[in-house]
Amino acid sequence: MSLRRPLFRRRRERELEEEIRGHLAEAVRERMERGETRAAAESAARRELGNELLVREVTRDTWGWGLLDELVQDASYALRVLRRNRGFSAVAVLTLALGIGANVAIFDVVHAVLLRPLPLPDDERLVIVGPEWRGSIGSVAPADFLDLRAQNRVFAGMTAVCAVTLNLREGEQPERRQGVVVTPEFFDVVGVRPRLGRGFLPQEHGSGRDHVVVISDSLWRARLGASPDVLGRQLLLNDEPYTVVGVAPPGFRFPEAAELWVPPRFAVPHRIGEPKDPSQNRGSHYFDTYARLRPNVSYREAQANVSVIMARIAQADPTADARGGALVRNLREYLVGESRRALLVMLGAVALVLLVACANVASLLLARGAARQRELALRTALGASRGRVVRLVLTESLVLGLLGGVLGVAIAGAGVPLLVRLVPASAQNLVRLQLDPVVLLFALAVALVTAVIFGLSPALVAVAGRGTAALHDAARSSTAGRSRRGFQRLLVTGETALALMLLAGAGLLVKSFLRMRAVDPGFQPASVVSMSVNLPLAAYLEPARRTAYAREALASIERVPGVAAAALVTRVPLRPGSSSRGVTVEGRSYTPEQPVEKVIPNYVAVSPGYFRTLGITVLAGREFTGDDSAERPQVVIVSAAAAETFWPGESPLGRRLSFSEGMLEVVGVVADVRTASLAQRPLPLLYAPYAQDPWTFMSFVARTVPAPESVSGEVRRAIQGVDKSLPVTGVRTLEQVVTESLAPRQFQAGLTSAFAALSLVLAMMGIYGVMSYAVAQRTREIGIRAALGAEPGRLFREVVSEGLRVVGLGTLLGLAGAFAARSALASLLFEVSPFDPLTFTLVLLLLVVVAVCACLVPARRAMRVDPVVALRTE
Amino acid sequence: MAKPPAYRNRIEVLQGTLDLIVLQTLQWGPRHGYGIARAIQAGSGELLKVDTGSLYPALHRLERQGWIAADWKTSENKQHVRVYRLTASGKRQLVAQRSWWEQLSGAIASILGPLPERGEP
Repeated sequence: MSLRRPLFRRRRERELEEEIRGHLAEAVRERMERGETRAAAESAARRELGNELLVREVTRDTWGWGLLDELVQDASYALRVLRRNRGFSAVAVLTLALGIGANVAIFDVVHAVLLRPLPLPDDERLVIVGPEWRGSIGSVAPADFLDLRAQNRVFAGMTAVCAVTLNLREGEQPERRQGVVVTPEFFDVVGVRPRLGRGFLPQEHGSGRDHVVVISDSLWRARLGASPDVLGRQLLLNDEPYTVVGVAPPGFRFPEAAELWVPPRFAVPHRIGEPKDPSQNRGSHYFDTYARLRPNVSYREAQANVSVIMARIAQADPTADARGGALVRNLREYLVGESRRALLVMLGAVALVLLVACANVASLLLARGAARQRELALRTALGASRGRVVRLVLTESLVLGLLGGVLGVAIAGAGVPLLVRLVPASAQNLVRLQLDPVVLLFALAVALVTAVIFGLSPALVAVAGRGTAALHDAARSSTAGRSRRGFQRLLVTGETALALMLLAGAGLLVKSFLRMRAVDPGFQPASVVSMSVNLPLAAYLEPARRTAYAREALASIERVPGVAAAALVTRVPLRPGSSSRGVTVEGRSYTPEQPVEKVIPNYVAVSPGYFRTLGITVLAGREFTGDDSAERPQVVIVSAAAAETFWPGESPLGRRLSFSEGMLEVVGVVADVRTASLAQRPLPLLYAPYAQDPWTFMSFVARTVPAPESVSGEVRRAIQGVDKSLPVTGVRTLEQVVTESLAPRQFQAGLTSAFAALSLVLAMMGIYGVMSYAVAQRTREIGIRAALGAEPGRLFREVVSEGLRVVGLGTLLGLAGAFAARSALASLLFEVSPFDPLTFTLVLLLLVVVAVCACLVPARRAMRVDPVVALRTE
Repeated sequence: MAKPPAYRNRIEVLQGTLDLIVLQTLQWGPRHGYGIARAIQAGSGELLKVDTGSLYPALHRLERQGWIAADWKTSENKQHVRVYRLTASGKRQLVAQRSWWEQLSGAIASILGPLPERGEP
């Protein structure tokens, strides 16, 4: 055996040599002391010592091979074998690397989103609280929050938050920054301590004391040069001076990618039909409520307690729409909840890819095992134990697996930044994707498990035959390798099944995406551009000033050449977020149990030209006009879904409804618009004239004659010209808005397709491999048959049909698998059955075409076997 | 100076007893391999000859068992030599092996019985 000895063993051998040299020297010295000459002493000592090499050999034998010794020995042997078969090793390692890399990358996202806690301490007890609303957690009105905070017995702390955009002015250029209004206890409840300064003091809310701000670390660095004496400095937010009291710790931007935290003024702009004092406001639900559970309080207890308080609120004030049901959910689960399924399906998909990769490498190893069978048989014949041979083959697999793992981690490292799109928007600023130790450990585990999975079958086959039979087998292979080929076929069958599942899944997701893209959103997004503006209260406290600003801005947009129509809306459809208000319908009686309508409609304010600009059909009644001003009777336009909800089967025209004060008359009915997502059925939607409810934030929409991109710059300048201090942001065509709303779906479908394509290529390689091997094994048989006059065409067909049999069985298994996995996938599909016949037909066709292609080369080879050569090669 | 006895007059050490002899030899202090061989030879009145091919495997085996330990030292000869010493578990092993040997030699002696009288007819 010419095995290279491991390093430490070689050192021991050198030591042994030296020990024996010492032995000789001592013997010589003693003999010379007794009076012998050097020459005589040396030859006598040597004679006495005997055969030095033999002495060393027998001594070495007592060392034995330690387990580690043997492992190192096996590994270095495996490496040499792999180096000798460069092509094979490269394909195997690359296959594994792709499989492992995909798994590590997806696991990294799953780990970051679903498993790793929020960067908030003890986030198990951090919850979101609110009324149950369409199965989810609704927002809370300010007055309701105050009651909940005062009356609950289950929370150690409670805070209400509401995202706002703030115009930050530093010098000339105004910038729009993401801010969050938070009640003073916010930093205590989430458990985060500012890196500089402090959070808010309990008294810091309400007029006079509320002009304080905590800024994010990134803003502190970017805009304030990370100056340590930033505390006490004044920032102009919405044109009002705010004093910086703290800087948040690095990376903390919660919630909603916040850069500025400000206390509530409880002086949000007064809207129609609302009490003037916001702390009395029970009609507008704009606060998300976070709370920290007291120790030893369960979610169930908390939920019961909150429900009781909400019921009490409803009883005391029939106009309040806080209804009985309340929900308390873990904050992290709430933030990442909707992505859980999609992520798990992705994880399942990559697991399938890895299995396909495993099967492929196992099949490669088996094919190569044929070449090595003789070597292994020889080893067995020479006395290597069966266990030792299995270990040798397994070590090789482990080395392959680890190499694939290392390369896979590199691939994952490169791919992970792209996967950020799998993270739900609500959690994007909380989640950091990085290959941390847990993920690396996962990679190692996957590599090892993979190695065992794909290494086991070749190892078992290696020792399956008896020693002599195997030697025999390897020498003459006409009917040989039956069991190996059976194994290989099994692997390819499995591969085909997995590939079919992945292809079908990808096909269904792609079809869902296409279906969704084809959904009519209810408006015509083509040729419309939108951009938004946020009016600071300091300059625009008076509603009349906001109305005047809007009128002026719309007029100057309409003057832009190429603009056909312009309007404003408080929230563009399909943009994130929603506003809704509880309503009561005139002529209907309400009880304390049901103080308002069960359905809370969405609500926006629009300018007169809105429906025309967006191409929303007016079904009945009229549009808003310039006459629907603040002084005129309050009017409202309802969507078809709202009309059907509140006045089923009747005409809503002339009917009246109320928010909490005053009555609004329905003057028109318009077609439904999908506002939340293209996947979601249109929700009841109420429109009010902007002049009667002038919000501080608005989006302008302009329909253009040339492409909207070419006009958007002019439109933007026109708006900017009205008030130079206001930043105009979010410039997007409505087509972009629609595409963005579909982006997560598109990404899922694309990613799954990539995985499916990868598995298809692997399966194709597998089929090619097994058929090539089958033909190579049977060269002799085919040669004989060719010599006996078998038609080449018949041989060709035989090979192809054998390949198709393997694929056919795999396809059946794959269909069974797809059936088993239907419920996991169904929730991600949109108007597509998990057994969509068209998708499955296409997938099957694709598989068959690929399988036939994979068989072509081996089949042609079979057809061209030269009988003479075939018989001679044996 | 007495001439050492001729090679053929020496007795080869019995398999299994070498361990005992080596441990016993090291009881009197650390020695290198050659020193151990010489000590055995001298201690047995030049009767026992230890073959190097048996000695070194035995030493390495005993070392592996943990009964003896080895260090590199420089001899008076300025030669780098590996010196073995008895460990604590080696001392216990020596006691155990001695009692085993005493039982064995006693048993063999009783089987063999007293030497037969000479001069019987």
